[in-house]
Amino acid sequence: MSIGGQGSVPGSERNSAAADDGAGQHWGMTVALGLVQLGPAFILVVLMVVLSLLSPYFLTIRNMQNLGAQTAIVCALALGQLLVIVVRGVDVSVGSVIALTVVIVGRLMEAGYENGLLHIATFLLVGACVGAVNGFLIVKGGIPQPLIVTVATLGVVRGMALLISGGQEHIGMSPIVETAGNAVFDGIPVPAILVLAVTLLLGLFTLRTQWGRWIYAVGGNPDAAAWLGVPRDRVVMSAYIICGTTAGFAGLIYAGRTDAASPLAGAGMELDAITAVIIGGASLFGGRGHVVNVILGALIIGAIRNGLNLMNVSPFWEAIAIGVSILAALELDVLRRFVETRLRARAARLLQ
Amino acid sequence: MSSRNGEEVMSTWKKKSILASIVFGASVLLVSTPGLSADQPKILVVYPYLGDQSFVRMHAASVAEAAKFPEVKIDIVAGPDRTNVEYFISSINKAVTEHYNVLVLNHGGAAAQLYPALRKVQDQGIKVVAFDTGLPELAGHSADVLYDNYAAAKVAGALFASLLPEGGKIGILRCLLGNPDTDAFVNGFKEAIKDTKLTVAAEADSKCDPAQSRTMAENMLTANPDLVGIYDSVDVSAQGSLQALKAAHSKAILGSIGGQMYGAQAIAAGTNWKFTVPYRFEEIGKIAVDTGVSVAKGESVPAKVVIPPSEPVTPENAAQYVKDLKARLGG
Repeated sequence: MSIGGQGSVPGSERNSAAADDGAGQHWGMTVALGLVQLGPAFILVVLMVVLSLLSPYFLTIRNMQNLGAQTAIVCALALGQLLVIVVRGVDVSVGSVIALTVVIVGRLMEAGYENGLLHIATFLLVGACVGAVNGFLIVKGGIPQPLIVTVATLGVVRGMALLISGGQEHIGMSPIVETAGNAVFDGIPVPAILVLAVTLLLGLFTLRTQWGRWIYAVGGNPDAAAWLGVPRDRVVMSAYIICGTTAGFAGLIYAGRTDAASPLAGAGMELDAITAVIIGGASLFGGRGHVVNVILGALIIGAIRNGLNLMNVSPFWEAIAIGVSILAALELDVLRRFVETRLRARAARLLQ
Repeated sequence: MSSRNGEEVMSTWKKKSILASIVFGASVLLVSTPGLSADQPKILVVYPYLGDQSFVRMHAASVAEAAKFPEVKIDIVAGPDRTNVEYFISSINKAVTEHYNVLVLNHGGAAAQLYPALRKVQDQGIKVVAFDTGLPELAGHSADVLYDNYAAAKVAGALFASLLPEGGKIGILRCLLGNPDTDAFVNGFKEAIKDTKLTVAAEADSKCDPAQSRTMAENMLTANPDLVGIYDSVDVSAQGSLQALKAAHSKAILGSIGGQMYGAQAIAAGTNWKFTVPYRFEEIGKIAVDTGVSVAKGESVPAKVVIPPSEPVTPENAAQYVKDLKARLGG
């Protein structure tokens, strides 16, 4: 019997075939696992395939451009909302912040202050201020429920928008604001470009900076983070300030898209923002979430609405259809996690 | 012993004088409180909110009209948002607890939840007048002051048909799904176009939000590249549709109901927005107060006052309309 070169060991051919088969299966598992781990991206792709089959207009360039612009406001809101949810909070005042920011800028226009850069600064600063108030009340005010605080500020801020505007809509924004909400650059809507830029910024912030890592630490285990020297209160407050700022940014896009400042702007959009964050895989218990997945979550909601409009679903059925579609997307994610768990276990057995 | 008796007497006098002061003060307060004269009728006018130009204009007209009746105490209040049922119920309860004679109510579409409270109010002898939107299920209420929404929508439909004689596909954007006013705006429009060459290719709810209406209009244009027109039931959502039409470089026309300043200005500027049928906010606000006063004085009033639609704003008269409206609104 020869070993290592001539002929073969009895049974070695069978062993070799089995090893090849195992390697093939492992490769297959790895690919399947990779696909399933795409999470919201996987759901979005499935959704887009389904919608493109249901409507011939869905996967057209024009509609994709529209989708990018239409989801920009919710994307902007959801980006900031993610950080608040990561630190175990929630901010339902963001819709009202949109109204306050657009109304203040509308008033500036009426008063003759037409400098676009001033308007942009106003959108962001007013949003940041409201965020700071929320953060302060939650951190220093001793009110244990962030939801209650932001429900209160939702009312206060909306009331301020009504008071400042006198209930009147202002029409006509500065060219820079119009461009931010309306223009198209090289076939890509400018609102979508701006959202991508903010996503990149926040992505770098959360993944590459110490402060960003602290946000996740505080969300994951606030007490442990505090013991380790993380300035917990300031981190939480920064999350709310960023959330308010992105709401101001959403106000900028709103004003640009509508060329109007209405005190009713943004009503109900806070729920879309929270839904986008949860569909994107963040945990309402904090500590988990990714900015890219939040964008995908917002796109899922936007695609569902867009598809239903294209199919001319009756407005009487639309609310039901949107709710059912979102539930289906969430269940798909549950199924995805189940499949992922099973595939991981199988891949681990194969390695053994 | 005598000093103890003296202290007791002093203490008794102190108590009595304090009590007398309280009674005297309360009497002064009661007598001087305005509006509690037994002969002065009291009217409570309730608005849902002052969150858009429609209600602001109506409210301003009511306030101006109320000033003409110094012999009647007229309180005009407004809530935090359009269909805040808790606010309406607390206002209705206020009418009872503060002894108003007449409740003049603009419920903004929340009637269904208010009927039980309104029936109780009527049982207390308080008269009820509805304005802007009626109270068809409230038997025995004094009057409804309404705008003829259905007729206004038929005017809009007729205008569409005249501007698009070749016919074609149109989209409809309603505001506040399930609101009887919105339903009338849409049903009247559909009635007017049913024998024309226009077909409704798409219908959506913009929730009175210009951003939503822009999104809906964009999607309508995508799904129906040959769309020739969009009908928005209110001006505020038409503002969003206009942006969608401009961005798409569409030639589709836009029509609406409202008669708001910005709508008329867009029409005068020659945009896709071709007409708006004015909603007679000022007349409604004024007549609501007049009706309430008449009811409070025991005069007879018609059970229903229906204000017909006025002349639509079109490119031909938009500039003059803007001038007149500016003068009416004081700048």
